[in-house]
Amino acid sequence: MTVTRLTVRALLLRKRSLALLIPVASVPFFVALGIVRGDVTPDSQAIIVGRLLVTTVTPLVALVLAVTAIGDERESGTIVYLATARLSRLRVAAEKALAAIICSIALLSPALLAAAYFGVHLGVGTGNILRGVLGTILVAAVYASVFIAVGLLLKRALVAGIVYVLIWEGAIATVAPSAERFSLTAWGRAVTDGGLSPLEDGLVPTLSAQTGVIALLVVTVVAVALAGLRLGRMDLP
Amino acid sequence: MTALLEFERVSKWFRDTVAVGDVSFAIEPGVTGLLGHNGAGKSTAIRLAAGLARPDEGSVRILGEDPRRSGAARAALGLVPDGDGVWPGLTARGFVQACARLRGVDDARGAALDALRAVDLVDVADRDVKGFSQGMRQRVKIAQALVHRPRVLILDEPLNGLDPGQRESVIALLHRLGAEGTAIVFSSHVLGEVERIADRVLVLVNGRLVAEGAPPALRALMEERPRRVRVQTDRPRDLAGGLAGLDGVQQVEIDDDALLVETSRPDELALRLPTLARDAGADLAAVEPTDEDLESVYGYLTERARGVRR
Repeated sequence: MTVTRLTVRALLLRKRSLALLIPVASVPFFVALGIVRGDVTPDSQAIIVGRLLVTTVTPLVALVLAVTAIGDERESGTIVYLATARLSRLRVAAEKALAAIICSIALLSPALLAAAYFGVHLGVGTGNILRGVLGTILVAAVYASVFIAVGLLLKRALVAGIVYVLIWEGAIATVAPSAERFSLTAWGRAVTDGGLSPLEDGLVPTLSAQTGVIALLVVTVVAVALAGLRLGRMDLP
Repeated sequence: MTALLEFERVSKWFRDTVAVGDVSFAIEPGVTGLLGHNGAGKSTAIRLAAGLARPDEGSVRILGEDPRRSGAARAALGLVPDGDGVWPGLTARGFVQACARLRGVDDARGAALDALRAVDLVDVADRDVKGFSQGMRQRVKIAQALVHRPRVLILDEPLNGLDPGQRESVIALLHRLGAEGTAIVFSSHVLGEVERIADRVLVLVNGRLVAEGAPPALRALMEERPRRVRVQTDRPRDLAGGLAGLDGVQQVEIDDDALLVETSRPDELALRLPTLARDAGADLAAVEPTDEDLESVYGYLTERARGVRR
């Protein structure tokens, strides 16, 4: 796991990574605000966990870390040490994704703790709180893996990722119910909320929490495999 | 027998530019210099050899296997890249140990210490590489390439940034490793370096391999090219006419009290010069070739490959 260790260390030493604590801090901030105002309701929990933590903050943190995990190696030239190692390129991609996931969870931990505290305050059960944590971790994993792959495919992966998160996940997929079914964070919300209800037209079935977990895991594995394939085929500096 | 490193008709293009064109060679134990000017294709050849770039045509093999696909081939390879990038927050020891682990070395700690000792960096092993001078960084890069005792060692401009003492030390190290059976390929655009270090030289010009062989063999190429001879005399103008009529003489220039003669028949010049001098009433103060070094051969090959000379 040398690649993972080196990448975790490199990511946590970057100022850019620490700057991610600013959006992460928005979750404890709104939790504190809700408690102070006495606005501890299922609706405010849905907004803080579903919309803020799972749909916006977690994707943002994971994609920045994933793009940095690969981008910095290419920029500094240290990727040649990985590429000439005995490890397969698939293993390198998988360890990179794992490092981005670990760092995402580490940076998101204040937000996860705050969201869990809000759940306790609201009186939801332990199961609900654990689902929230699991959904957030799965969304972090899928974003980290997808953007490791995107970082190897596009030069401006960070810009593309932010546009994707804000436009698709943050806007279109939240107002267009059918689009929601093709949203990574909606699958995450299916886990945190215990499933998404069927659409009114009945054409799109209920998205259960189990389906959400499976879909997120499948995309994570496929993205890592694609990243490994791409890393194996590309020329390195 | 399988060559340690082999290029077979390898070509690599970047859009319409040929970076490496139809290059074939095989590397055996010993030190091989890859000589070429900036942009000649040395770094691309090194990236191809290390499996960092994929050939558009032909094949690259390390111990008979493709380094892009074979972990065993990569395990046999040590690379000193051109760039100075190092993972942040690591000491020299930490960096070399990490590289040892990446290459599957069992005793990474001990191997790192041995490699750092080989490049005289043990005293500063626990300092952050970030604060190192360019020469120290270069030696750390060499240490990481040696840490798993590779059978093929590839170095891109390894003497860059080293002071004279460090250069001597690295040159001695390369000679020792070459003598012990490691196949070493290093690139350089400094002819003196290559002539001094390498048992064998590959000359790349515009991505093409224009010459290869031991430095003395490259000198032998001089036999097929015009030679320049400086003839110092008290009566250059009187002697110039006779020399211009000699078989093989292509050009005669007067340079103060000397003549610069370009000839494809230096043997004929040596034979007839005393007679011509006597006939012209000239005393010969000195007769010396001006282009016997490898640099002249390289300059000639470069011009020939570029079409300046035919």
